[in-house]
Amino acid sequence: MKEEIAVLYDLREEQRAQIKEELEQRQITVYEKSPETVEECKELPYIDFLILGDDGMTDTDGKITPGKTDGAALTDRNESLRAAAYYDRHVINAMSVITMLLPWMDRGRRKRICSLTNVRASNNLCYSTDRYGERMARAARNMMMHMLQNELAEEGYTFRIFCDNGTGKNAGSYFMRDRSIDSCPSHMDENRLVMRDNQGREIPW
Amino acid sequence: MSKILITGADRGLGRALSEQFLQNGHIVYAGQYMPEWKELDSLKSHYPDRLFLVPLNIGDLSSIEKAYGQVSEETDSLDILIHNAGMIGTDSRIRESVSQTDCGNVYRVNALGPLQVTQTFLPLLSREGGEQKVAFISSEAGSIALAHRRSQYAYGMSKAALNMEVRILHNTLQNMGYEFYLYHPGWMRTYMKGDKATVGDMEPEESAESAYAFFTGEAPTYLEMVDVYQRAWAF
Ligand SMILES: NC(=O)c1ccc[n+]([C@@H]2O[C@H](COP(=O)([O-])OP(=O)(O)OC[C@H]3O[C@@H](n4cnc5c(N)ncnc54)[C@H](OP(=O)(O)O)[C@@H]3O)[C@@H](O)[C@H]2O)c1
Repeated sequence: MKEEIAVLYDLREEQRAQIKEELEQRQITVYEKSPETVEECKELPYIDFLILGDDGMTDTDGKITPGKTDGAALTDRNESLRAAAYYDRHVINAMSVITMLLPWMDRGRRKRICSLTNVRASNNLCYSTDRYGERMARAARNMMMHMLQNELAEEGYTFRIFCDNGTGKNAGSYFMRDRSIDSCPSHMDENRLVMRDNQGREIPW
Repeated sequence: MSKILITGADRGLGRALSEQFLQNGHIVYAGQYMPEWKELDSLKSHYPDRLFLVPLNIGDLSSIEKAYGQVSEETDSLDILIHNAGMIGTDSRIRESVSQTDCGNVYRVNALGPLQVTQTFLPLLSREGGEQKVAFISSEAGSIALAHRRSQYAYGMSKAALNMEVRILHNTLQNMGYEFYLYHPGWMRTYMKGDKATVGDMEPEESAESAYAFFTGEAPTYLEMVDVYQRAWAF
């Protein structure tokens, strides 16, 4: 069987090793890329899995300072500047990488696009008063994934969204697993995009 | 008599909402983005004492601050802030390469504009005894659960983000007496694509009537996106 290739793009440091390990256990060849090195993917023969991370979106990475808590963000003029930066990185960059790599994914067998996020992407489960920019960008990216599915599913593309708890655990195995029983089209589950956490629980949008 | 600020009031739903509130005896501060478009001027000639035109580009912080300066000179309070201004961006699909610039511009107006306008105008809304209502014109296009589009990425993503923003604002301000209204106006024959649309389910005036009833009716107890037919939409 042809080697399967996964590209990990813009993953957070603390998830990377775990996700890579889960993929390699399944004999997938993994290439890790950052915004600076993603162009190198053009040298690959094809891509089966494109896994989009969420680096730059958390407290600890120090790249974009998240909004203040308890409503203080409302009086903080920089909140919308931060929000624009989050959107550019998490949504616009991801979209341009997808656009760039689609021809390579067309040549791949698996054609699967995966997104790493966390529960802060859920509008229905949001009880917080902070992190406008981060949460808004995560919601926008979920919409992007849904629209991509609407557009590309008929070409054989499938999609995964995983709410990580910061460790990357179970993300790789969730991304690889098929959700449909291929021999039984009436049970095809791939047309319904869901967001799951590392316990397999469905997280509402 | 309530005092209402409406963004993007030059034409389409914003103009229709302005007229609806004026017909019902209220005072309207109409955000004017297109001074060359004369519909607001003609409305002003009918309601010279209760309609105030306020130059306002919600994508530009200095314009928002100037608008705040003007409104706060005219009044010390607002009852309802209606975030209506919006743009749709291009139609392109992923294989045609969705424009990054377009996505950025649409986000800055549809999602970040309302955040900056809310931040700026909160002092006028927080007066004791005021209605403290903040209304957002969103769209079914922002419902991730029900997303059906294969193009207009910039628009769908911006409205999904707007819905999230309203959720956090609601979490933050509801305890202080604020009420939040999230409205999908239906498919209207407006100017979103530049010229007046010839297709659509209704004229903006019809949607404005329903919006008026929603915004001035019983306060919602929790946040939901309600459409022109009073149906709730999933996030
Ligand atoms: N039409 C529909 O079927 C539909 C469906 C769902 C939701 N909506 C929402 O309804 C709201 C009203 O749209 P509409 O249908 O009435 O469209 P419209 O006729 O285009 O009216 C929107 C107005 O907002 C203005 N605007 C654009 N960018 C602005 C900015 N940066 N600052 C201030 N004003 C700005 C527009 O000016 P320009 O014309 O110069 O851009 C226009 O005057 C929007 O939020 C839209 O997303 C519309």
